[in-house]
Amino acid sequence: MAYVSIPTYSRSLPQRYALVGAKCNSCGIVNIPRTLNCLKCGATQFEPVKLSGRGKIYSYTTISRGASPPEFATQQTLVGSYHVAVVELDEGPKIVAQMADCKSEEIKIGLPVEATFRRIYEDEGMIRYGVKFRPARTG
Amino acid sequence: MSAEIVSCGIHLPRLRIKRDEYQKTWRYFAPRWLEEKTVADFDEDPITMAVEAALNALRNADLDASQIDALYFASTSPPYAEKLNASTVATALNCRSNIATLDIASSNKCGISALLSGFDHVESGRGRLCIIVAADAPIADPTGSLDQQMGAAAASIIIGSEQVGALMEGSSSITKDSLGERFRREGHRYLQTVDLGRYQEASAEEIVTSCVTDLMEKLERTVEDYDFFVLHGFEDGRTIDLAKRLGFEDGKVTRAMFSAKVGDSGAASPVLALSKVLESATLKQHVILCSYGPGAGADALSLVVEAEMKTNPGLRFEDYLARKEYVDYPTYLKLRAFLGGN
Repeated sequence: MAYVSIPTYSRSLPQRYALVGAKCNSCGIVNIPRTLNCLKCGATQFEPVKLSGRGKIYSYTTISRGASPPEFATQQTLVGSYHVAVVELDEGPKIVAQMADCKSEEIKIGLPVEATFRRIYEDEGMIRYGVKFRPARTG
Repeated sequence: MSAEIVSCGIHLPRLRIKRDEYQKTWRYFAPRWLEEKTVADFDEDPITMAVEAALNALRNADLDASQIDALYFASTSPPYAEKLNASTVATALNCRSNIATLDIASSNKCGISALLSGFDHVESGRGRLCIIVAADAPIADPTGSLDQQMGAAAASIIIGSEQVGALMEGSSSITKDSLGERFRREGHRYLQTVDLGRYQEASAEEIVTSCVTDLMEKLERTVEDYDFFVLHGFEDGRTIDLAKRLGFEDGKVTRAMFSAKVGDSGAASPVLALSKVLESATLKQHVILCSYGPGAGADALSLVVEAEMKTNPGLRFEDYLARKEYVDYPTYLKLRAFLGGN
């Protein structure tokens, strides 16, 4: 990941803050992030849809010291290694996000997870908020 | 138009620090009433905690964020001193764009000020559903004793006119300028106090006493008419003393500034305490709450339960208390840096 300008970030706030995806009007799959053409059928008409934030870990990795993109350098200096997962959401799409509220040994492929709203990083004096995932709680 | 509390939602961070950790480092721990307290993780702040609590309030009421007409955000430690904080919360909840938003700050009682403004919003007919959320992680100098009591929490309340819940019966407010208690000057990072001992306590007690008695007189009630008394602004012993002097029995009192397992979560404390009370309050029970803000002012309000609150499994106060991971003191100091505490 690299620098994301404030206008670009701002345009995608509903997606980044609340997991609002784009449901294709022709084939029905959910695209998140929204693309110009549906990833499955190429159609161009979508309906916004708020995703549940629930899903399962499809894959994950650990970002160790020295391996983080620059925007996460401060986080890594203070808290060390962190985990990034590919989460397969209940509605179908897969997204990449950091894990929160868990220990390394809890993270496994197939683990049910849920979205949590967190600070992601800071840039240009502003806080970039977004979604991370944590092990699903009952209820 | 009448206004009722439709639902509540809370959030406590998962991290905790025990009093022993302070004792190991400092050889003393001033807040005797506190066993352990909540600590915001490096990626949590009042905005993120507010989102969690507000989502829980919506879930508990089976409401969709698109039905909300106003969102009021209250915090003494908002991430932005200037720039709307409520807009971030509203977008994260996926609210409509044509809603009223308001940030309320600069006093411990601003959580209850937000609640009263929320009632006004609905009672006046300006909107049908208003969500208020108080979230705080107050910061004081770690070399002083004030830091030792500071926790982090958020609590949210949805107010409506078409749903049945806890009916707002009336309110009363007192304002009197006073110096020396908890304050934070513009541009300063840390909360401060000037310890004036009994003088300060007496002044605060006088304000709360007149606020509570004024409300009961207005409603032609006595302490016997109330099942719960939520008092915010005083530490444990003083809460009980003051409540006793007002005539409330021990069993009815909920201490709202300080919870033994949460700590002082600023503006969120009284809203959190009210949410906890409404989780267990039964039909026709009456609740009186008074929130005190140093500097000084107090707001009191009276509620009657017309329908018991529903709280989903996993989202109750006890569930949040149970989900925890302890950190040591050096880790705590590191995490505070993310809140701008150094």
